[in-house]
Amino acid sequence: MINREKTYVNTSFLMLLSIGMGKLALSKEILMSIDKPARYIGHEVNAVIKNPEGLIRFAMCFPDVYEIGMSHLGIQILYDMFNSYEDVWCERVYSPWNDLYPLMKKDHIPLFALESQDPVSDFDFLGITLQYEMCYTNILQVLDLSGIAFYAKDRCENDPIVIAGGPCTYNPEPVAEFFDLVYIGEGETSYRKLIDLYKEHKKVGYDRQKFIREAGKIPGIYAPSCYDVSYNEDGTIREFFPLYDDMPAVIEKEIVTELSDTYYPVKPVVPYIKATQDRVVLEIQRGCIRGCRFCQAGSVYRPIRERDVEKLESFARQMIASTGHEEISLSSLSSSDYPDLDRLCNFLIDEFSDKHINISLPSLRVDAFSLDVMSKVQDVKKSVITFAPEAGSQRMRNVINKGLTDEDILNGCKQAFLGGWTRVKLYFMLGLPYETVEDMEGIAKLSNEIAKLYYDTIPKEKRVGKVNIVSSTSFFVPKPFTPFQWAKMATMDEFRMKAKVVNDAMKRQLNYKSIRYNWHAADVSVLEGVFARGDRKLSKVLVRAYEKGCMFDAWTESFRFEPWVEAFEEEGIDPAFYYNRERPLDEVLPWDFIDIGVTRKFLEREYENAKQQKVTPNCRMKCSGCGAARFHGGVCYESKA
Amino acid sequence: MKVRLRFSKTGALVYIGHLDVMRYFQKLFRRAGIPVAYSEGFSPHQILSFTPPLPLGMESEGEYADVELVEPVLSKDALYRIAETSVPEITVTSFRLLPDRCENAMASVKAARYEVIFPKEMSGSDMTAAADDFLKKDSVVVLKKSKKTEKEIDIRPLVYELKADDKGRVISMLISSGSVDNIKPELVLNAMFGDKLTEFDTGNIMIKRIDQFTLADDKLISLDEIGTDIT
Repeated sequence: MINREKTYVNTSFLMLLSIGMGKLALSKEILMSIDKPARYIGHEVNAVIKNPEGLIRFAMCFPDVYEIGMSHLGIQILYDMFNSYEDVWCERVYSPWNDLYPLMKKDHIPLFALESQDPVSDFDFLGITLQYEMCYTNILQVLDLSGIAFYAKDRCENDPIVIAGGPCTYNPEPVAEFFDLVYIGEGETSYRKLIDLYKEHKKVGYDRQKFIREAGKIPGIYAPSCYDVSYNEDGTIREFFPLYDDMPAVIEKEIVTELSDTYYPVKPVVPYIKATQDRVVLEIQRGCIRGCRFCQAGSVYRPIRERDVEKLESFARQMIASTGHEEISLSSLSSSDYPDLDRLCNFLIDEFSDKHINISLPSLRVDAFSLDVMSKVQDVKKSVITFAPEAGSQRMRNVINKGLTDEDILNGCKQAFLGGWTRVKLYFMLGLPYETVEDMEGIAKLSNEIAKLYYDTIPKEKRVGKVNIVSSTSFFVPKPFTPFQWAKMATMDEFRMKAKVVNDAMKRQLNYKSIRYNWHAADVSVLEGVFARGDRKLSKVLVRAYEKGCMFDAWTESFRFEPWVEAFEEEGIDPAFYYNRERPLDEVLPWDFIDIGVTRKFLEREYENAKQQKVTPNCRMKCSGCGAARFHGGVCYESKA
Repeated sequence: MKVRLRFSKTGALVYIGHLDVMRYFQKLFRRAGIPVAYSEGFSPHQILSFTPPLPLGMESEGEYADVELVEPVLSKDALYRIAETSVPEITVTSFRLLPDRCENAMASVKAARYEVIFPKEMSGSDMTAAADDFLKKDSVVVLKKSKKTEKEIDIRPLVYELKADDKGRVISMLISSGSVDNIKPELVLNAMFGDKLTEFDTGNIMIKRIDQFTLADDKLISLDEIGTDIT
């Protein structure tokens, strides 16, 4: 037998594993060889398990890694809604990370849903949320691993119905050919109708294309295969038209009129590994009154609608009890505009601060009230005061309709410094329309003024080291359904030059040692710009980029620009056509067939106001007649004093 | 006052790492309303201590966590509330009040019992012989590798019990564990079977931690035996 006097450890033997677990889609060899196997096993607290027999099975996919996808409130709301239906079982699907992907490809392991660990291809529906343009190649990864054809036209009768949702569906055209259906607007309203229609069709000789066509008549649901596009010689759209007379020519977005009377996930799934949002999230309102001209969310989610504060208080209690999370946070585009903010903050402090539950209050305007609240819930020495002036000069802020003045910022900072804060974060954009060198240098000047204000306000003996100011610029990407949807986006070289102008100006400031300046990568911004305002011709570029290995493009560590350049070249498509071109007002835009309530006329007016540096008042000050009033809800119907 | 929980970790949850198990318990205590004490300072955390990390991929029936409470709670109430909000793959089986000045879970572990379950085609009577051979030796020197170092150690004195079942399918071992002289069951198996194991489909061998022990009056007793139910 073997030499037992002196035996050496066989290290591969240390990889011994236990077996006998519940059903898992991945083998223990694979799970033990990848990073964070807990991303793929499901079995979390509050995950919904049903007996699948006779149920409609909906796979809800966030096409990014688990920790990101699990942090998204929208998916949690829809998961809760679908699973409240007795005839539906909704499960979660996320993108396998770079380490697992090649193993699944090699061994032909089909992509699976977390709860049942069943292959996605067994499901009735595959819903994919489109949260940002740079996840588009991940959609293809999900389809590829699920064994579902990229293009809707190539799919089989029994493949799941692939449906998109989320903010990027306000221009679905670059990815439209990958989807059987696209849900435009808020998911709470039309999915029940879709499920009912599907069940009806399943009862009587199901025909995939027939179902898709009928589904395309449900409010908010767009069936791309029932429409075609013709182009002019210069590549612009001549006409976008339905292929059948009974299909709607315009798709109206869906919204929830009464936000207080709808679904809320009071028992959200609790991940084992730390998700990006490892906390209870209260969505206090949807929409925004501000009308910043660069902001797509501020436009497409109009009108602003609040949730009832009493309901929110009850949700907070239930969710802390059901999850055991140690933090609670508010979600909205601008929390300071929530009418009952005072009451809600006091409730959170009274209810939770002695229970070792942290309270985080993002997107609050910095003023006496918020500083008082923040000093109660945070360690002032460690926390950061954040402003988003978006532009460096008042002139530029008038162009973008950002109603935040230098005075607001400096007053807020002064109070914060007196309250003990020493760290300030500032967010700006570069490459905004009508931007001048003075506007860019204004970023450095404002940063310097804030630093100076600290040294002027706090006497030497009371200072704890230097003030710490971090200014960041991102590159402006024009988005559909904003007044800047016609605007020309800057090129990569221009972006780099602009960042250099700011950086040089920073170095000239007296207090530059107290300021740190960061800027975003220009190449990703350009791609985002292409796909944000792209059309159907771009789908083949996406397929090619995926075939070249592009995936997780939103992740700096996996983003590679060269394959994208090749993909555009090989498909004979000039990206500049999409991002670096001012569109005339009479051009047919790829997203013109979508009606978000806010009218094209209003956007044109706002584009002109931007040119004139004319400020438009917010919804509570004065109605500007954007068109969203036709939804009969929210701020448009509040009594206006 | 400090209580000790014994729990099992099985099924899919073998893929949850030690830090995530700790996070799991922190949230579990809050869901179940267990009155856990928090540390002082600006970022207070639950006063909580676990037995040494279970290797990723391994099941266990005998893991322990010690937790400081601000007020007593009846053992059976606590167990009920915990079970109501726990996943089945982590089952808490005891909740006992520890005596004052008791060593914490991490520090007190001196030994652990493991079961090694072989697949059918690998089992047989030579398991018993291999176990007996091992026990007959005065010393078994093996090379112990860690991330940084390699050193030779004699594991024979660190193996307190080693035996195979009648069918030769399961080997049970009680071996040294904890902060001093910690050895892994794989080290013993490798010493028993050596190269022969490379012929086996090692992935099909299942190792399970059964329990963990501490020393009391020179005797090894289960960590579960320290402390008393709160009634």
